[in-house]
Amino acid sequence: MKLPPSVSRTGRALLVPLTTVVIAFVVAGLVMGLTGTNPFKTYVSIFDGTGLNWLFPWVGGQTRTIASQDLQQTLVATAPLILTGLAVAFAFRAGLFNIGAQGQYTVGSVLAIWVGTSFTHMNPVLHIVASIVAAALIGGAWAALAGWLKAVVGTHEVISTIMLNWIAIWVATYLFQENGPLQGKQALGNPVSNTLPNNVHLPVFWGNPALQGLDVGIFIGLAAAVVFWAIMNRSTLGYEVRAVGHNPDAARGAGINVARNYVVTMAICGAFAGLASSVDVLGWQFQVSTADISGSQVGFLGIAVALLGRNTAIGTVAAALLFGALETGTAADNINASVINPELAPQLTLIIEGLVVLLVSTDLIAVRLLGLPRRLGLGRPEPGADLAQALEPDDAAAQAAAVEGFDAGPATTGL
Amino acid sequence: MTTVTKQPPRVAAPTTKQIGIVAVVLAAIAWVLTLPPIMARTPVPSIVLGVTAAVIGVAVLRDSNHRRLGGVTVAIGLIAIPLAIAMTNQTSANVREVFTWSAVVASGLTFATPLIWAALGGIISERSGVVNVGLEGMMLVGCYFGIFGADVCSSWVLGMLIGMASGGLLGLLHAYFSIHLRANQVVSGVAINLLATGITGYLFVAHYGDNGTPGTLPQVPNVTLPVIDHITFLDDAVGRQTNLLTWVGLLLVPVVWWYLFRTRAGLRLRAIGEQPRAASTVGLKVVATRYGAVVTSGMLAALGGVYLSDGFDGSFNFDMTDGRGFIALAAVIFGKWNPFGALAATILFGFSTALAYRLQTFSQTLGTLFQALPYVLTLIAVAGLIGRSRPPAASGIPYVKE
Amino acid sequence: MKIFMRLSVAAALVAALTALSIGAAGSSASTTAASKFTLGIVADTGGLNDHGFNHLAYEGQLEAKAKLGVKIQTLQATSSADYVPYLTKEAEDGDNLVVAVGFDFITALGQVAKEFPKTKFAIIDTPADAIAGKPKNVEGLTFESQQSGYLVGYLSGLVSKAKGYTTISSVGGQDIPSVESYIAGYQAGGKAADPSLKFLNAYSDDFADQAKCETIADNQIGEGSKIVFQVAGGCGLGALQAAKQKGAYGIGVDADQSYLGSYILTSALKKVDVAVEAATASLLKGKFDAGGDIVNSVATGGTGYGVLDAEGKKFAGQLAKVLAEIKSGKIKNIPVTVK
Repeated sequence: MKLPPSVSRTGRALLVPLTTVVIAFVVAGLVMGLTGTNPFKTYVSIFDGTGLNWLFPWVGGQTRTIASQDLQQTLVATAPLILTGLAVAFAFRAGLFNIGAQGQYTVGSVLAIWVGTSFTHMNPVLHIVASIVAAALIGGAWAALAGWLKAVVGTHEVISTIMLNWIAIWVATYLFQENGPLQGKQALGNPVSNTLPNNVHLPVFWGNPALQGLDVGIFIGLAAAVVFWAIMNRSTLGYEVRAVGHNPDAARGAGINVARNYVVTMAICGAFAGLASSVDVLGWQFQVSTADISGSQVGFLGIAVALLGRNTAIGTVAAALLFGALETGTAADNINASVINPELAPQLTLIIEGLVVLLVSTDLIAVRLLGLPRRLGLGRPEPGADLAQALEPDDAAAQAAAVEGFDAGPATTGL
Repeated sequence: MTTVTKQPPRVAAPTTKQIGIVAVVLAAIAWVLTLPPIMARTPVPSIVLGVTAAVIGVAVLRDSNHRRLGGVTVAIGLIAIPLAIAMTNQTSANVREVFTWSAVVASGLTFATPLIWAALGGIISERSGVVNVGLEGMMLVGCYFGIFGADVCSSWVLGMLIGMASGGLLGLLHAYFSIHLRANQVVSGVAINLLATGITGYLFVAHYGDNGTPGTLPQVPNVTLPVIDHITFLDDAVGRQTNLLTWVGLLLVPVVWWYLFRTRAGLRLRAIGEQPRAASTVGLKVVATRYGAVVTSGMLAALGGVYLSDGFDGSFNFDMTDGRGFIALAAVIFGKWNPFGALAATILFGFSTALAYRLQTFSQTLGTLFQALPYVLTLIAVAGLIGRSRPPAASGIPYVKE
Repeated sequence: MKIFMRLSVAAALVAALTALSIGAAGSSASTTAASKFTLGIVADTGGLNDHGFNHLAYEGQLEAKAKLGVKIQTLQATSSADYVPYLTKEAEDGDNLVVAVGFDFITALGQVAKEFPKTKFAIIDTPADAIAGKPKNVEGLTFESQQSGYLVGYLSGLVSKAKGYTTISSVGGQDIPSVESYIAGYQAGGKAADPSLKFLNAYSDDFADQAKCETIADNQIGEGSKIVFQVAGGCGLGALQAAKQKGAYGIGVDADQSYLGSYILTSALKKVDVAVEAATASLLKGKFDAGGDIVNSVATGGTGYGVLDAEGKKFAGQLAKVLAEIKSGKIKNIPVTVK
C-alpha cells in the first residue's frame, strides 16, 4: 500500500501513530488467541466496557444507561492521565526526563486534601479554587526543586525526580498514618485523612454525583492541554524550551538562560501533576489514605501516555483517552469468569499496554507498511545533532515536518 | 577520563580544596563519635567539631571554585549536631541495638546486591550507546524465571541460568527495537517494564495459582568466608550469611571496570557509545556490539532479580522489584557510568536503607519518616558531591549506517 | 512502582462492636431460591491473588457457588477509582448480596448503599456503623482476630517455656486496627503462658515487598527472637523466610501457611471464606444484620489457629483447652491495641 502524494503532511503525521496502535492491537490479539482467549469477543467486550458504544445512536435502553456510566468512568480516569502525561511531555520537550510526576502528584494530593478539609468557612467556589491552586503550586515547587538542582549543581533530573518520588511517598505516608499529623479525626485508627465536605467536591455534570459521575475535572485536563499547546507553540517561553530541548549548548549560545529554563520547565511540569491530584481528590476520591499514596500509578502511567502522545498536547489527550479506556474497558466487563480467569485479567491489561507502548516506540513498522519514504526520518525520534545528516539536504520540507512531529523525542535526556 | 592535576613540588599553603576535605573529615568524626564503638555519652565534642567544620565550610564557600564542597561541609557539620544530641539522648542499649555494625553491613549488602547487578547491566548498555530504562522489567523477569527454573529443574544453578536467559531475551527485544527498528529507546524501555510486569504476573497466577511459589525451593546458597567471619565489624552476619550472588556481584565491579577501561574490547564498546559513525569508519561493528551489550545488560539485571527472588526471599511475588530498577538507573548516573561510582551509590543506598529499618527502635511513629532516609541521603550526595554528569555522547541516539 | 501493592486496610474497634452487634436485631427479608441468587464481590486493589483476604473472600464465593448453588460475579479493582463504579455495577446487575472486601471501600460503600437501598451489601473486616450515614442495607463482617493472635501467642509462650526462649517477636504491615489486634492478642497470649517473655514488634509500612519484612525479622532474630509472627500479608512472607534461614520458628497469618515448611509453628487464622459463605447462607434464609455486624470469632469458627507443626503438636491439648475457654467466655477482654 502506497499513500498517494495528495495526502497531506498532517495526514501522514496522524496516520503513522494510528496505524501503529492498530498493529499493537493485532499483536495483542494474537497473544490472546495463543493463550486461549477469543480476541474478537474480548475486544468487543473491552470496547463495550469503555462505554464508547454510547456514541452509537442505535444503542438504547439499559445498555445505553450502562454505557453512559462506563464512559463517565473512562473520562474520569482520563482526566488525571492527561495532566500527568502533560507533566512528563513538557519536560521531554525541554530535553528533560521527568520520572517524578508521581511524587509531584503525591505532594499535590496532600495539599489538596489539607486545604480542602481545612478552612471550612470559606466560600465553596473559592475553597475549590484554593485547593486546586495549592496542589498545583506545591507540585510545581516540588518539581522545581529538581530543576533547580539541575540548573545550579547539574544534578541529573532522573536521579533527583526518582528520589523526590520516594521522599514524597514516605512523607505523605507519615502524615496520614496512625497518629500522623494529618490523620483524620473519624479515621478509627486507620491511616486516612479527613473527608472532604460535600460543598468542596468538583461539580458533576454528567451522571449521578453520588455514584462518581463525570466531574468537571476532564475540562481542567483539556484546558491544561490547550495551555500546554499555547505555551509551547505561541510563546517565547515555548520557543526557548524547544530550543533547549534541541541543543542546550546552542540555546545558551543564542542567549537563552538555560538554567532558568530548566527551573521554569520543571515548575510547569509539577503544576500539571499537582493539578492531576486535585482533580482526583476533589473529583471522586474525597479523602486520601496511605493506600492511595503507595498504590497510585497515575504519575508513572503519565510517562507512557506522554511518549505515546509524542509529547504533543493533542497526542497526550488522545493517549490518555486510550489508556483510560483500556483501564476501564479491560477491568469491568471483561472480568466475566467464563471468558477469562478474573485473577488474570489485570495482568492482560498490562501486557496490552506494554505492547501498545512498545510498538509505538518505533514508527518504522507503520512507515514501511504505509510505503512512506524512509528518508522522511519518521523512524527517528531524535531531532538533535545528526538529524540534519540523516535527511537529504534538498528535502527541507520533510526535515521541517520531521522536526515538527518529533520535537517530541526525549532528545538530549542523556541517560 | 580524569587526569590527576599534580601539586607543584614546593611546600605550599594548603589549597581551599584540602582545607575543605579536612573539614569534611572533622564533620564525619563528629557524626561517628556518638556511635559504637566509641559511643561518647555527651554531645559536646561532636558539637564543637560540627561547628568547626561548618565554620571552615563557610570560609570555603567564599572561594567560588569550591562552592559545592563548602556547601557540603556546612551541611554535614550542621547535621552532626542534632544527630549527636539525638544519639546521646537515647539509652546506650538502644544505640548499640541500632548500630550493630555487622547486622547493618549484612542487611545493607542485601539491599545493595540487586542494585549492583542491575547497575552494572545499565552501565554496559549505556556505554555502548543504548539507554536502558527497562532495567526494572529485566530484573523482574529474572525474579520470576529464577524461581520458576529453580522449581522446575530442582536446581538453583539452572534457575539462575534460566533467569539470566529470560533477562537476555528481554534485552534482545529491547535491542531489536532500539537498534534494528531505531525505536525511541526510552519508550521501548518503558514498554519493557510494563510488559515484564504483565507477563510475570500472568505466568505467576497461571502457573502457581493461589498459594504462590512453593516454600521449599533450591535456593542460591549463602557462603562462608573464613577470614571475614572473624573481623569484629563483620563477623558471622557477613562472613557466613551473605549470598553467593552478593560476593560475585561485588567481584564483578572491578572486572567490568577493567573490561571497560583496560581492554581493547572495552575501548571499542566505549568508542561505539561516543562516536558510532567514526567507530564504524574504522571498521568496528556498531550494531553487533550494541546487540551484545544490551543482551548482556539484560542478563546482569536479571541476575539481580534472581538474587532477590531465589537468593534472598526464596519466593516470587507480583512486581517484587518495587522500583529497584529505577534506583539502579539512578546509581548508573550517580556513578557517572563508572562501575566503582555506581557501586558507591548502591552501597550508600543499601546501607542507609538498612539503617532506616533499625532506626524504628528509636521511634515507632517517626519510623515511617526514617524510610525516606536513603532517598534524602542519595539526593544530598548527588547534589553535593557528584554534580554534573555527562552520558556517553551517542546514548539514546539510534544508529543509522551511512 | 507498586502496581500490586497489597494494601488491605481494615477497621476493627471490635471489642466495642461485639456488644453492639449482640444488641442489633437481625432484620428479616424473604427467602430467595439459590439458583436466582447472585453473590457479588468487589476486591480491593490488593488483587484476588493477594494470599490474604481478597483471595479468601474469592474462595468463599467459589465455595458458596459449589455448596449453595448461587451464581457469582467478581470484580477486581485496579485503582480506588474503580470502587464506586464496580459496586454500582453489581448493584445494577441485581446481585442479591454485594460484598466489598476491606476498609478501603468505606467511603465508596457509603455512597453506593444510599443509592441502592434495596440491594444488600456486606463489608469485610469493618463494622457497619463506621460507614457514613449508617445505611440499613449494609452489614459488617468483622473478626475477633485478637483471639487468633492470643492462641498463637499462647502456643509461642508454651514453646518458649519448654525450650527456654526469652524473646519472641511480630512484624506488622502497618499500624492499623486489623493488624494491631492480632499483635495485641499475640502478646497477651504469650504473656499468659510465659509471664517472663519479652516481645519485639515492628512495622514494615509495606504489605508487598518481602525484603523489608525479612530485614525487620532478621533484626529481631539478631536481638534474640526465636519465634516470628508475621502480620504483613505478602511482605510478611519475607519475615517467615528470615525465620527459616536463621533457624527460628515462623507463624503465618490470615490463611494457613503451613505449606511453607516445617518451621511454621502454626498460623493465626481469619476465615474470610467461611464468613462470606455463612453470610450468603444466612441471607438465603432471609437473615440479614441490617446496619449491624456478623462477628466472626472462635465460637463461629471464623477465627482460630491453623495446622500445628511437630513442636506445636506437643501442646495441642493445652491449646485446645484455651480455645474452649475463649469460646466459653472464661478468657475475655483480650486487648486489641498494643501498649
